[in-house]
Amino acid sequence: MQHSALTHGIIICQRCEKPASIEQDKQQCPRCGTRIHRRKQHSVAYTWALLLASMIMLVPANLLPIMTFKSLGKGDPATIMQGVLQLLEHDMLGIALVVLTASIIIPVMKIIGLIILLLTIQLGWTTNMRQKMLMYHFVEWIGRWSMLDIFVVAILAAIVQLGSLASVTGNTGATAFAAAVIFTMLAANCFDTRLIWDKHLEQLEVFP
Amino acid sequence: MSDNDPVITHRRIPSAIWFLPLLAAIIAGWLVYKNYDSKGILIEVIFDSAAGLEANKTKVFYRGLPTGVVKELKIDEDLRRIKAMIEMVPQTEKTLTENAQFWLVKPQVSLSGVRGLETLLSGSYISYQPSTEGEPQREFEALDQPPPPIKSSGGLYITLTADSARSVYQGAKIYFRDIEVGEVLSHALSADGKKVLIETYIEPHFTYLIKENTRFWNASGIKVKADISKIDIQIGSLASIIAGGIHFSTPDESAPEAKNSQTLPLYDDYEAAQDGIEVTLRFPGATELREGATVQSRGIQIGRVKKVTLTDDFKYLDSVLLIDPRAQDLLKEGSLFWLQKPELSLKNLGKLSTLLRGSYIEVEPGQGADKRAYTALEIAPIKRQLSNGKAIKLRADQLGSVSKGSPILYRQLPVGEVINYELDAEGKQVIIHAAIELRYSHLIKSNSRFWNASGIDLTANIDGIELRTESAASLLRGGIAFFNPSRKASTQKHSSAYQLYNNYHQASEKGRLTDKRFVKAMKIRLHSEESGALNAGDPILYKQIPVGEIAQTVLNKDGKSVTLYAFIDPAYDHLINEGSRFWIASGIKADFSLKQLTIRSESIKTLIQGGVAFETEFTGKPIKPNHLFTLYPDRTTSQQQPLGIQIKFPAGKSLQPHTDLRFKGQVVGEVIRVAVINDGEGLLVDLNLFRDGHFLARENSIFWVVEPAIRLSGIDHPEGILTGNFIEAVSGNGAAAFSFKGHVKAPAFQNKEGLNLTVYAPTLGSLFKGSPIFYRQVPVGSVTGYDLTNNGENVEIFINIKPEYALFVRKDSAFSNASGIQLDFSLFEGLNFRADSLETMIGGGLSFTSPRNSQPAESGTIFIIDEM
Repeated sequence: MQHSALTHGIIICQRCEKPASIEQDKQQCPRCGTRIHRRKQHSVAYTWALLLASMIMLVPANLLPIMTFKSLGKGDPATIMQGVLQLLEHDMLGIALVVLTASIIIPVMKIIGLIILLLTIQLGWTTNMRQKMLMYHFVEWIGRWSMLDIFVVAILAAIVQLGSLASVTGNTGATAFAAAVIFTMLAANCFDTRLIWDKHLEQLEVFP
Repeated sequence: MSDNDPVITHRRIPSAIWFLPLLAAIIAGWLVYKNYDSKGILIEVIFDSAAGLEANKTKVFYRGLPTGVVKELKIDEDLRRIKAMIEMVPQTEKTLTENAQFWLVKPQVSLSGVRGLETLLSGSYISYQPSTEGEPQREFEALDQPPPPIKSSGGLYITLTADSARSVYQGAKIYFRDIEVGEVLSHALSADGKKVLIETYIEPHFTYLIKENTRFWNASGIKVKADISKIDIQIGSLASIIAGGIHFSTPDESAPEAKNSQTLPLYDDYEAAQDGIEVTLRFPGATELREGATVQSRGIQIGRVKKVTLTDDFKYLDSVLLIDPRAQDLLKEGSLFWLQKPELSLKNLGKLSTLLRGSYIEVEPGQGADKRAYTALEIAPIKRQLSNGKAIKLRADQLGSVSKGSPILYRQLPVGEVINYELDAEGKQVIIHAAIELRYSHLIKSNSRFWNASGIDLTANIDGIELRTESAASLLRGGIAFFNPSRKASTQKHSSAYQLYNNYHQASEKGRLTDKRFVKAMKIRLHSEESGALNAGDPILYKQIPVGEIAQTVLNKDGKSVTLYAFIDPAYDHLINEGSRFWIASGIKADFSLKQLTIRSESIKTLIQGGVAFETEFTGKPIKPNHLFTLYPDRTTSQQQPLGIQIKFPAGKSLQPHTDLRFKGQVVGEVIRVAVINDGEGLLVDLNLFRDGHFLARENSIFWVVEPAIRLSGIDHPEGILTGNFIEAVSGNGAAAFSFKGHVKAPAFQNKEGLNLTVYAPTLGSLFKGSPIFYRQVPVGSVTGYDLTNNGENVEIFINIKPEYALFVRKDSAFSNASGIQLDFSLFEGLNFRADSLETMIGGGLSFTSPRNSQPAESGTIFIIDEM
């Protein structure tokens, strides 16, 4: 486990996954023409920036109403949390939990997870590598489900247009939330997990 | 390292990726800022109750726009009131001053209106009246009810004063020609509590409609004025029915426009709003007068009673009348007012309007200066001044159903009316004062006949039922009708007092006076022993066709007979001449004889009603008017024209009235009366000789009683068996005589047609009167009588041979007795039995034989029979 491909002078094209020698670093992939880097460029900085943007967008996403549901002229714009509370008031605990999880817990968890990973790289933590890998995959996998709320709002706003009987309109909160989710996903995508291992190997001085 | 080696400098410029979080921060910051910027101003409003309020739900509306929402509800520290934390939209910031007002709007459904209907679905909401004036404030107290709209907008604000706020509520609309032009803002009691002040608002583009003299009235609800003549339903708009409403009209458009805050009166209703002259009228305390009663003058409404108040001492009733200004001239010094009460009576039904309207005040215009306060008369003035028309007086025994105001009808057209009535000085008659309209006064003539045309004049007789009414109005309310008889009409003079007849028949003398036929009719007189069932009006019949009428029946001065005056229709003049015979056609006449039963009646009408019938022999001479005819009791009598004679009979024979008097078998008279005279020695019989029998009233006429006789040979006068005896007569040849001596048996000798002979015989044998005379066994005559000869030696037998057989009797004829059976018995010839006939065998008879060559016998010849 103290070796990586890089330690053996092998790098890989990011696009077509063609293996190449270390000499070909920053050169074009002979197969697909993509410039080959040994690691993702500026991975940590990009991830930080996107993560920061995501965290900033989460603030309006939670403070502003994401959706207005009007039935018979009644109804107010509701934020995510108000929606959850309303569901709880109506004794719909399950749905409340789903909404809570998908809309609040997961985005927050993702951000926290990515921050941990980033800190791991930057501070050179080398403990619990496997768990960290697992955490990353989870973050990456769960990311798409975070769009659940947006889909709900989008679909409802498109379908529930029954005039004064009932109508749903999206609010700025939804936009902000969508942005936050997108930023998190991008951040997760920018993150290069190999850096975790690189650091580990670096400490073991296995790098050439 | 050479100089040519590139110097690798690490760029310390942050990566472009860092713009992203910056951008995100800016956007998020802007979003959040914007969101919080739209967050409102938090204020506190204190409510008495949190009913209808809900945190995060209840909104604040201003002109229908949400301007805030209740964020939180708190109970006041002292637990008495509710604090509502309300977040207002930021735009309201400047209006949240000390003058801003909040109140809770709940759905209200009441008769006066439906308000806050939208809150039924959305729940209660808080309404808000902003105000930019005053110090900014964040704590408010909610009002109990909506505040009156502030007088900020353009338009006209008017204060109306009314006695009551009857169904004029806040929000009630003000209409002009049913177009909404404004509304009631509020109503409140005046400071002294005597008036209601109603603040109203007129929209700017309608303010020009309101003048200083504009009259407002309360048009709330439905007003139904039912009158006999019409039903007047005044309905405002539906909204005004529910919510009440105020209408107005401006009598004088040229008046200056009303100013803001001007005070105008609000009248109770449309009528009250109309202008009128106020007149005070004092009534006795007990008068039943209600407000709204009409004031009339000669049937025209000129005003109404506005107010009725009892004076403090309860003695009088003061009323305030509102009189139409046009009737101003009626309000003079001498004007009279009195309360006209409706009288419920059948005759008054025609004035249903009066009944329904109830009492009203009648005004009799007077002369003099203007006056505005009067004391009402207790009863209507006895004699109202006649404004126009000709006064007439009618005298009647009884008032009948005539009443004041009853019409005077001429050809059912009202030409006047009854003004009044009174008793005459002696109290024996009623004098009715009436007035005829001037244009009809020429209709009143000296001989006008008036009758009481009230009600229904029902004449039922055999002709049918005659229903005579005047107009329906007079049927109900009574009336007097008159007509002018067509004869001796004179317009020049007219008397002022007329007799009022009870009905048309009396007035017109059963229609004669009005019927032109009777004017030209020929008049005749009829003399009768008795009038029978005849009355004036009964018909004169000719062949059962009415050709005239009896006008009058008058008892003659001697008291024994009656004279009837009759008219004959001109068309039938020619039927009457001196040969006319009149008889009473009443009743049924039955003739009963063995041969026939004749029942004869005139028409059913005359049967019941009576009448006079006549027949005419057209050989008579024409008559002059008033010719006197004899009226016979029946037709037969009229034909018979009986001549009365008297016969004195010895006692012993039964005679009864109606016994026939016969002459040669024909009835020529009738016994009228049988009286016993001289203590039973005789009978005095009054007979009527019919016209055919008048010749019997001569001297030497012989009357005798014939009795039916039953004999072996037959029955004499069989009809007498049933009808009783009759009287037979033979005529005399002397002067006229009316008194005779009667016989109980027939005179022995009677001249009959044919050959009258006398036979002398030693005995009568079995002969009797009527025994046949045979010639060759053929009956050719009969025994007409017999008598003893003067010396008593022989029997004189009078026989008559019928004319056709007269020639068979010769001077030498030999008579023999043919009676019985002749038996000759001899030894040689044996028994010789001979009888003429079976009849003679029983009844006897005579037979004769005549020689051939002999002269015919003459009447009076005497024959002798040797043996019988």
